[in-house]
Amino acid sequence: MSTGNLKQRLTAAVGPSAVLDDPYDLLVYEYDASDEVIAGNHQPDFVVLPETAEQVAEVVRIARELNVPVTPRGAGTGLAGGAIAARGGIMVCLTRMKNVLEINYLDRYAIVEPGLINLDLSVRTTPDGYFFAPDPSSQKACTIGGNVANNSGGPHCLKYGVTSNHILGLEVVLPNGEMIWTGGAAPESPGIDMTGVMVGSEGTIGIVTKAMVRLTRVPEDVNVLMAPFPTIDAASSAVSAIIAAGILPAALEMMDALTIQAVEAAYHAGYPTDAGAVLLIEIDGLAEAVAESTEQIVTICKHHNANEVRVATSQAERDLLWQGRKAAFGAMGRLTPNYYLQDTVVPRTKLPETLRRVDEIGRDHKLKIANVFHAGDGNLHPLILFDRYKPGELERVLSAGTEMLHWCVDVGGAISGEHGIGLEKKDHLTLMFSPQDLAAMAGLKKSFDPLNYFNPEKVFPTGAGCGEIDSLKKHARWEKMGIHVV
Amino acid sequence: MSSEADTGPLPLAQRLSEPAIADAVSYAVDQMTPEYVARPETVDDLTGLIKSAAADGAAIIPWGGGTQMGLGNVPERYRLGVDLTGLNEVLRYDPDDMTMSVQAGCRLQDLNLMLRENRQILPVDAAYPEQATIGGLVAVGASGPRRLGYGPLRDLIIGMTVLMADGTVATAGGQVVKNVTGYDMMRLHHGALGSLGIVVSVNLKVIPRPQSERTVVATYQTLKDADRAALDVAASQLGVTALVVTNPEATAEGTGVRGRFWGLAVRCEAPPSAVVRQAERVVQYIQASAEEVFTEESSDESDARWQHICRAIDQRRDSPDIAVRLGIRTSRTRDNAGSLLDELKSFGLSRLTLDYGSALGYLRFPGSEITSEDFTEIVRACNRYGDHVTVMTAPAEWKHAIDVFGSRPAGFSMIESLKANLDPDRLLNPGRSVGRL
Repeated sequence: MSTGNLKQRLTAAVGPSAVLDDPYDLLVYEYDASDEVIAGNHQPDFVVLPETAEQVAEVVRIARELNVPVTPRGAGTGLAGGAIAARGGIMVCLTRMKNVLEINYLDRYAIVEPGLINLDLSVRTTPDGYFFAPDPSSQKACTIGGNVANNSGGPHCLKYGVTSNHILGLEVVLPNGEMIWTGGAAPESPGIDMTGVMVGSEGTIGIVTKAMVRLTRVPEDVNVLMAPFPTIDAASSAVSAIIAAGILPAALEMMDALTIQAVEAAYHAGYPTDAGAVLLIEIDGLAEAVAESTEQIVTICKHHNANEVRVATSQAERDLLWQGRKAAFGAMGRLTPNYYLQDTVVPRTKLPETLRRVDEIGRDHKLKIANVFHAGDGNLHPLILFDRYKPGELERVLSAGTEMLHWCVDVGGAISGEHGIGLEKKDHLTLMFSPQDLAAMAGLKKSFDPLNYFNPEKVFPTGAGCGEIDSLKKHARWEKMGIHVV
Repeated sequence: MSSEADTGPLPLAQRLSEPAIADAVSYAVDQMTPEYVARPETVDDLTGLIKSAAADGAAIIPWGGGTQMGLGNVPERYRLGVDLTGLNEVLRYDPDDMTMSVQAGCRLQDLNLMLRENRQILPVDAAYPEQATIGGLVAVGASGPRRLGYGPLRDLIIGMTVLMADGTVATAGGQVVKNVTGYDMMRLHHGALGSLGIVVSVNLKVIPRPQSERTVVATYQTLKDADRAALDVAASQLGVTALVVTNPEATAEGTGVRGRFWGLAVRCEAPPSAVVRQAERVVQYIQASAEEVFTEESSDESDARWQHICRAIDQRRDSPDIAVRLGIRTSRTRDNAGSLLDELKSFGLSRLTLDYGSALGYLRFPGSEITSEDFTEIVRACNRYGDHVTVMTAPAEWKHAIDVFGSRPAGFSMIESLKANLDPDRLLNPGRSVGRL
């Protein structure tokens, strides 16, 4: 099959304006938001920009017939290299499919296309009193399809849960070319929970063409509290105390001194630059309950030596505080040319010692590390600041990152909380999972994609020497499952 | 075990003696009795057992507390009943992390008693929590009315260990509340009715126990009135945690109110002074067309009220009743439930519970009063009005004629492929799951 012929067929499927193969056009699709020196990059042979689910299905059928890899992509804001065409082939970019197809407040769902930007949905429904709860910090740019692929989190998943909890059903194009609907407005539909299996599978077993998402009622009342502490340790123990008191805030975020400096320099959000750490706490719900919980939290923070506890009194003030938090990664440009953002999770009680360890790792490797993270969930985001052109610095960054992963797994945590595995972390998967564990996951992959052409090279570790997921089979019982790799 | 490693698994006949008839009968599923019954107490024992069964090609049906064993199609084969209640260890419980890891045979009530000491709960409904096991709840994948406030059990699961049909033990997820490392195998097994692996242990997130609760109960002359009140509460910002409408029969059982009234029960859970206001505000929303409104004024009474409601939804395996669950979205509940009731008038529907918070409806019929033709007609009518329909319990001889899960779901070829890859010899619950998998 010549590429000329492939181009013809793709053009016939999606139209000439929706097929890119000019190297200059393709350049931007080599990357996602991960640092390519860490996750890697690769150019697709073609980028297609379908406008309908049927077009996606047609492209998949062509790819299947010609045995060409397919990599789905949303806005490319992923942080783990998940949307990189690691083996070239066809990149299916879904950003032209961004319609809201149905909004049903009575049954609390919306049906949207995968290229819809996360925030656009809530902007549309909030005036009517409903919102889409998953709110990754990139929500002004990232797509709902991408959120589904990565099972994205966000500050508010402490109370509202991750993306998976908010996806009621999906229209998916499967690797066999079939297009199906899973799930629906009423839960517990009989059969395997294909919706749940699909969410977080990083585009390796299907391409989402429509999502039925849950809409959540806007809470009656909301309070945002900002509490600066003299040290990270003091802030961490306040976090534990809030959780232990039986309060479930909507969000419970921490920023360290380095992050505050960057954020204040960039946005003037009102965070005190002399604090060792600040907590940003949001409480929402029934007005009476919010008032009661706010009082409890203020008391706890003061008891743990908060310098002050400021309750934002206006929507503008709340928005400014949140803007500072959500744009913190962007503000890092004030401090450094490059950063490596880690995304690890530890049991909440391990936060204080983990933060001390992160600090230690930074000092050991002579690297500055900024911390801004979802404290309530135990989901860390150490940002290792560096300059890729300084000789030797990248190696130290990578060692520091790996040491953090080891530490987090050792204290009972996980190597990715919300950003995904993609290319970046696939070889670290064995820190958490045995060959048997991975064999069961590979059984799932194989059931959907026996040809292994959907987003290849992702999630599963590269085996020593053979480079494919089949290298696991000598350890586990893969032979029995008859897994073969093209 | 070491000798088995050399010589291969022992045949079941050598590993187990045949059970006493009484034992075999108490592990019957749809009137099929197993040839062997075992109650392993360690994962190693269970693994050895499954390897032996695999070598013998013996079909396995795992058991938890048995409360939901009426669910499923009639088994295609059944030789070994595996009672998992011997695997009942709490592997870890970290109150300050609000997470726990428990073996499949742990019973829901025992877990909640333990959690209570730290003012935490696992907010999962079951009609018989003293019997129901975590493994069983996960395999069945059904959540009750509290789903409105706390989400389904599915969303509380953060990790899982599963014994695969080939005797390997596979873990997924972890011990933290947020984790996207590897595939979400937990969702593959949740609701799979043990057809792709045997759940050995489950890691869960727990939540702070609500400091106090109230339940507001109201009665109405008609479904229309109850529906309007329920929709008003659903659309409000009151943040209630369960919202259920019951027909007169279920109202009498679930709320204790006598007479021919439709019932509405609303669960409020919040800090102590907030909950009082919350309940008062709920009353204002629902009282307009109500016959009677009252509030359970203590947390214990409120909780007990919901235990009754859960029992109207669920039933024991040995109950003679027919139970059907249907997906019924809130916006269509009044019309669809109304039409369905008209069609089912002659079949002696005893209880109807409409879970407005979950978009599910539950019907029960006295089994002794209907015929197999009636049954077919009931299922057909339910299919006309439900988004999806599952026959939860019915006599085996009637189940033979239908797939209790209704028609095959879209993408069934993927489900078949999963079965072929993960349980190629169809040893686990053969024929019982969706599409007689």
